[in-house]
Amino acid sequence: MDLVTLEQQSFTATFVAYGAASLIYVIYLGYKNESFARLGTIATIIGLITNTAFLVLRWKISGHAPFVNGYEFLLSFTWGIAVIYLYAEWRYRMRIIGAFVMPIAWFLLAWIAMKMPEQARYAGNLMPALQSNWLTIHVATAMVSYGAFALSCGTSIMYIVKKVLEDNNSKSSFNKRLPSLDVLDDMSYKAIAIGFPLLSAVIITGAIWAEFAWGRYWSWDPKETWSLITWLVYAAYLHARFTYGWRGNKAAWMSVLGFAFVLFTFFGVNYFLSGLHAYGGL
Amino acid sequence: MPENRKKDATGAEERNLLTGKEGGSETGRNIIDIAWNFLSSMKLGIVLLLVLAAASIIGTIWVPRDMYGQPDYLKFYNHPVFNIILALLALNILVCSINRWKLIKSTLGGPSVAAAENIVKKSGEALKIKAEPAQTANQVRDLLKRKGYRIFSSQEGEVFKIASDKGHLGILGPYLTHLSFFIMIVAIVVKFSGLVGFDGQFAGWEGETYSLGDVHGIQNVDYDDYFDIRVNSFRTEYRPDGHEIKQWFSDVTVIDGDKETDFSIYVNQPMVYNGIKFYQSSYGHQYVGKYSGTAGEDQEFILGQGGQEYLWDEGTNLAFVPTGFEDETKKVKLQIYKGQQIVDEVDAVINQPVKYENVEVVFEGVRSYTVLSTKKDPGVPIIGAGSILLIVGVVISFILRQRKIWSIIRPDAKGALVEIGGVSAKDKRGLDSDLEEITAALKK
Repeated sequence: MDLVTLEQQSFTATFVAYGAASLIYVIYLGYKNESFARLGTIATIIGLITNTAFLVLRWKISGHAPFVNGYEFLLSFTWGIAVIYLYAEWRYRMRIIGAFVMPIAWFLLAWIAMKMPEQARYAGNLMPALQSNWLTIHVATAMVSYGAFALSCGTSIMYIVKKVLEDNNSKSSFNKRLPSLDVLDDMSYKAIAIGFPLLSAVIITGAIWAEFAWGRYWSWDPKETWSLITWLVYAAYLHARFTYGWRGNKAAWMSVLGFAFVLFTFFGVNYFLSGLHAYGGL
Repeated sequence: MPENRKKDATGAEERNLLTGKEGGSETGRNIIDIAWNFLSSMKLGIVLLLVLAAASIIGTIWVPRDMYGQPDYLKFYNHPVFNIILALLALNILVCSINRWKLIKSTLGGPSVAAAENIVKKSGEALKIKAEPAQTANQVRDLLKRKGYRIFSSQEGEVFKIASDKGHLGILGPYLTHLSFFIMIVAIVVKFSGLVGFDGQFAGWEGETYSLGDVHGIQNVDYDDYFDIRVNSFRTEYRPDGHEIKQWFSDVTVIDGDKETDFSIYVNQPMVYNGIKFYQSSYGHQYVGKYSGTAGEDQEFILGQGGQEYLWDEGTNLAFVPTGFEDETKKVKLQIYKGQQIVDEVDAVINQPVKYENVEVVFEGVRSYTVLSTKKDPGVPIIGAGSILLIVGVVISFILRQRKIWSIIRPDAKGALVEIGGVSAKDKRGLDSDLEEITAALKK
């Protein structure tokens, strides 16, 4: 079997595995059975392995880090989400979070499966501006940073759901099984505490690279500007949290908004706006 | 929530202390007070962050265009209104930093033992221990020390008060982060002041030697730092498919007095000499050759720089458009059009005729020129230092999260009574688990 076929199959396997994991975790919301939920973890781990295999194969085929077109970015993004999610699951010993995080990874892949034309997926050569070691560092930090923001978004949605249930004095077993508001708030914040320094690093490595490639560390290119906007939203979140005591619901909504900005920076800019980052086009 | 209210209160107290020192008349002080409070408020800071974000969004949607119809992002982001928002944010950060200075000093100095009574009353837990107070106090100190807490204690008779904290250096994190913002502003102001450095462009033909004075837009460079540049060659490297461009190279020699240094400039690999940077930016070619068309006899042509863009034969309505030159194989990349329709793409090797219908074209020579973006910006290292500081500051603020624990140990009927409680703005859960472990160890 040649590498290209193997790579395509690893994509399919990842898609199926993340889909299965999402489904299992969502069923687990209403069907409390630990050994069943364990299957979700196993599916996520299998997905992460095949996702890693995809990235490694792509690297081998194209001869450069697989961070060049939208297809490769997306699979890097889902890799970041799965890694961060598994870390959180292990750390907090709570599988229920999976129902709110893994579907994000799966939807991203589903979007590729449905929308992206075949020719946009090919392993391409690096255009001159992309031939830099900074590319690898820049996108690798973005992977983990975006994964952490996805986790924060998922736990914030859980917070919002739990809050509504609590406010209605819900005695449902579903409500009982969601982690406490305090824990959710803390998780969401901690994920941002990982994502925010990394996002700062993403912006800075991008600026260093731009200085090498174009002689301008900052040119207000839409992608740059949107990454800054995302950074500003999370900066506002952190200031509101620590000096204003914006915790709980307000913080949760802000984290969801922040992730919406992450997604727009990731997709929207390439889709709706144009600029120097246009080679990332989807 | 109560913690935050407490924090706000101390903030206000500090402000009063600060503004109290200003003196002056009653109304004068009020105005200063109001302005100071407004500029130091976190509400203003958060609003400014969000306004800045909103303004930035507008700049990516409503994009000004330059005279060629290309997006000109700077036109928006250099607008005075945008700069006023930035300046206000800078002022807000400055005032906040001044306001928080006292808090930092006291945090670094350590928690006050005198506050113990209040804290344990508010958030403390009481334990009865069957041991001497002095012995118990030692045990508490030991437990705290083992967890990495700094210890401050006092003793009045048989009553021991212990204040302790951990991660106090975390308070420097936000300070460094905000300082980095200032440093970067300084670098940007330095750049836009026009007093140092420049942004320019250099264009040079292969085989020619130029002086730094030929750089368009050169400014603020000492004549002693001037040097000459000889453009040895400009090369385009193609991928094996012969279509996709792999890299553009400019091989140049810098002649500085008697010293000659060779450089190969390509995308992502600028040349730096005497603090001046040269970036591969653009290029062009001049093609010379002969063609014989329907008119019969040979005619000479010059295409590209100094001539027409393409060669057109009236009789056949054929157009020959050179799109590039591969140096290694000496091939001119040629597109052939019939009217508006592209009919063929061929590689025309130098001195080998290419024939299409009745037209024969021979390229005899190609000469290239390179265009290098040129700049000098002493602000770049400052931006670099600011970036490092930003990352260090952010990482410190998230890794070192201060926890403070106070305890009071006094004699009790059967031994000692320990009251213990703590405060942590950023890591309540960490604090709770520390308190739990300490009380559990004491109960044993």
